[in-house]
Amino acid sequence: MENRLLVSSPPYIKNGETAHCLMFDVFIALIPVLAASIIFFGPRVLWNVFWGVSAAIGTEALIQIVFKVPAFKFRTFVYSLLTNDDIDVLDGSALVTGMLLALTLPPSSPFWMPMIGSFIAIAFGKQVFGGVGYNIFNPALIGRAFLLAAWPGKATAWTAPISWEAWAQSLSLNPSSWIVDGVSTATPLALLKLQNETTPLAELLFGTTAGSLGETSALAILIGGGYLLYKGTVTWHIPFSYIGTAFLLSLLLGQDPLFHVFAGGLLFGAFFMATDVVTSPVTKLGRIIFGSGAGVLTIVIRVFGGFPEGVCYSILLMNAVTPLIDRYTKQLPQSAARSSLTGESFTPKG
Amino acid sequence: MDGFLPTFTRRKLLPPTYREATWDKPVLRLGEPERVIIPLQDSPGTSYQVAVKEGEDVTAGQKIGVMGEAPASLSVHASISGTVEQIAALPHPLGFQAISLSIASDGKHETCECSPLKTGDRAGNGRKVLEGLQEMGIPLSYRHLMANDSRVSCLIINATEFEPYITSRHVLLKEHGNEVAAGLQVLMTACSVKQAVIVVENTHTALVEPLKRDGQGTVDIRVRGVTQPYPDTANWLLEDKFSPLKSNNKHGSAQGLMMSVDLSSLFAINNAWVSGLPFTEQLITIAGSAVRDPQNVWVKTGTPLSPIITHAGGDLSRVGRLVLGGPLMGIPQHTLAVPLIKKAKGLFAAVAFLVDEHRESRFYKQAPCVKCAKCVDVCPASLVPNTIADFVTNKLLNDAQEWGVFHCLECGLCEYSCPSRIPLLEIMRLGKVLLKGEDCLLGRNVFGALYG
Repeated sequence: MENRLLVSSPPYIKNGETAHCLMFDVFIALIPVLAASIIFFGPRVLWNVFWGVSAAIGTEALIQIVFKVPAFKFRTFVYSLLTNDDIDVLDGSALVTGMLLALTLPPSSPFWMPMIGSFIAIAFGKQVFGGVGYNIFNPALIGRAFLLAAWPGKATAWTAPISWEAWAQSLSLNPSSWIVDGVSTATPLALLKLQNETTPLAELLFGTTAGSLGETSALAILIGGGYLLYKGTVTWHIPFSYIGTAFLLSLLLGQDPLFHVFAGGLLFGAFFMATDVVTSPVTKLGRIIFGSGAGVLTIVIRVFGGFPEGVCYSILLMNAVTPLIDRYTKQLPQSAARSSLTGESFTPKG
Repeated sequence: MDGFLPTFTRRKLLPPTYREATWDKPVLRLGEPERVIIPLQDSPGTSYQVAVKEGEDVTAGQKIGVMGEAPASLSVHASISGTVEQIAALPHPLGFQAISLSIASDGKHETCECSPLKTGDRAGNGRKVLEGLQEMGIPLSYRHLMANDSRVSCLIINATEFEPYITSRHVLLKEHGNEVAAGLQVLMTACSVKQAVIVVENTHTALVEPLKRDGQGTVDIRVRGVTQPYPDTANWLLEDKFSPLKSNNKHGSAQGLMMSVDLSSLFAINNAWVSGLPFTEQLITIAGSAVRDPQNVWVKTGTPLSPIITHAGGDLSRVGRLVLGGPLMGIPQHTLAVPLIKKAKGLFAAVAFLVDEHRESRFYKQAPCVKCAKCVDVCPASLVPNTIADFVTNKLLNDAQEWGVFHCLECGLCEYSCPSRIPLLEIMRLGKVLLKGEDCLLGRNVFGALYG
């Protein structure tokens, strides 16, 4: 008997990468950022990140089970989570969204803030549009924008880095003593805007300033961003055009460009938020336009706007125009008029 | 779980070349097969003429028919001596039933008398030389060459090897560089072309040295080094990038036509010119996980694929996937009985497992596009494959054409690098077929002897 051969469309080799790979790359790149923020803001960081991540994964699981499992019953919750192939909770995207959201909040925020933020991010930032791959806006930034509008006081209650000596001295068996708050203070950008006071560059680079959990240590962000660039998960286009435009524009406006690059969430946004693959343009020119636009908006909001920080809104605004950028930056070679490119038959028929 | 667990492996967008396995091996010659099958048709509906009858004895190199219609016709020759068993519709590698001649070997290795093209009255007459090449069954773009107002003014030779595993093109240059160069000279004189562009990888420029050296000042042969190989279907792209004609006329149509030529055709032209041998033997690479001994081998045209696999140490019962060409752009075969055709430069035989759909890992399922833009970064034609695939799956075919679905070279790199495992190439080809029918598929046409 003749053996059966498998017939399918080429190509017959793959490089073996999966979408999970991309998400876990971001997770790995976030580890130095998380470590730096634990060093500066104490064990409370882990507590907040834990609640953000669990709420994100929980929300995603709940929505997917309710909508994707036919004849849904609560009894089969865990079973369907583990067996249904359409449920992609474990693909890492919810993990990364929850983690990114928790890292954009102030250190002193109560544990329910990352929870609610993650719920909003997953439910209204992602699943409403159809799940992973279909969302228009960066889910983590949607969650943060919601929190900023709903609890403006709590979402901007910045604290200075904690003192580990004081923490060790006050340690007792009571769990509430494990988590301490730092002294309330203002971020470098707010200091500049309200009191016209600049922060030394070394502090910004190392991260011993007030700010969101993830954004203070420029060094840790650069390590994570370097890993992402090395793995090819992100390309240089968005982060470099974002940071470069912000640098040039602040120079043009008479500000200190290095301060604007290292202060606030610009580096964190450029490497982890703006490069979110789903909500950024696909063409190379489009990515550069996207980054430059976000850079311009960030500096404009910082210098002329009412907020001290503009990274979140600038990226959300540029997310909105991503489909438009894609449409107008597609490049077709000039030889489109040739007959071979309009699909004319090549084979001479007898 | 290879793609799932977070690793520090850096995955390349381009596949490795895998050329070590076959590059240094001696080039052998496959013994005469028991039977050859020689198709007289190139695509369904091509006209043909048969010059022999069933039961007739033929010698190797004897003309047994004509493929296509003048002026773009091509003679077909018996590659072994023997008896014509049957003239019937048999499976063709391009996936249709073609009228083919099946010749059973008599083991005598008789060859017919052949007269070199360089003798006789042909020598000074370019058109007669081209007709002679047609008679010798060498696949070229005769449609352009034999047109009365032939505007072919530049030849382009793609000496890069795009397919992984396949090295036959480079090995041909390594072993027979001077013959290929002589063939190029003959062709350029015959069709009075003054310019030629040879595209080759920067790492292999030494291979094309002989082609450059024999220029003798009368013709202009340029070698252009590239970092990334181009697929065989990239004619328009090569014309755009390397055309020396463009500088003459900046807008509007170029002054002349560029014609791409295969290296194997150049080698065959030299054979026909010097010794009058028709195109009956070709160099191919046989590689893949199903063969124990991957190698380059000279094979008679029309040899069924099974003796080739056996020659390379392959167990026929273990072959699960058989591809004519390389693993990125090859044509899948559903039977081992198909013959080797002239434009094939390789054979990829792999062990494949039929996996039940429900037993596949959920991490290797097709997922929604996350717009990671790896397909955009890797596309040699600078297209946006993910968006075009989106248009095609949603039946927005006009949009797909506007975004350049017909610029697609069908090289398969987008699908190779796609983390979401979307069958991008299949969808792009589907879009082409839905718009203009199957005849516009480049990846298939490039294997046709009359393509051009």
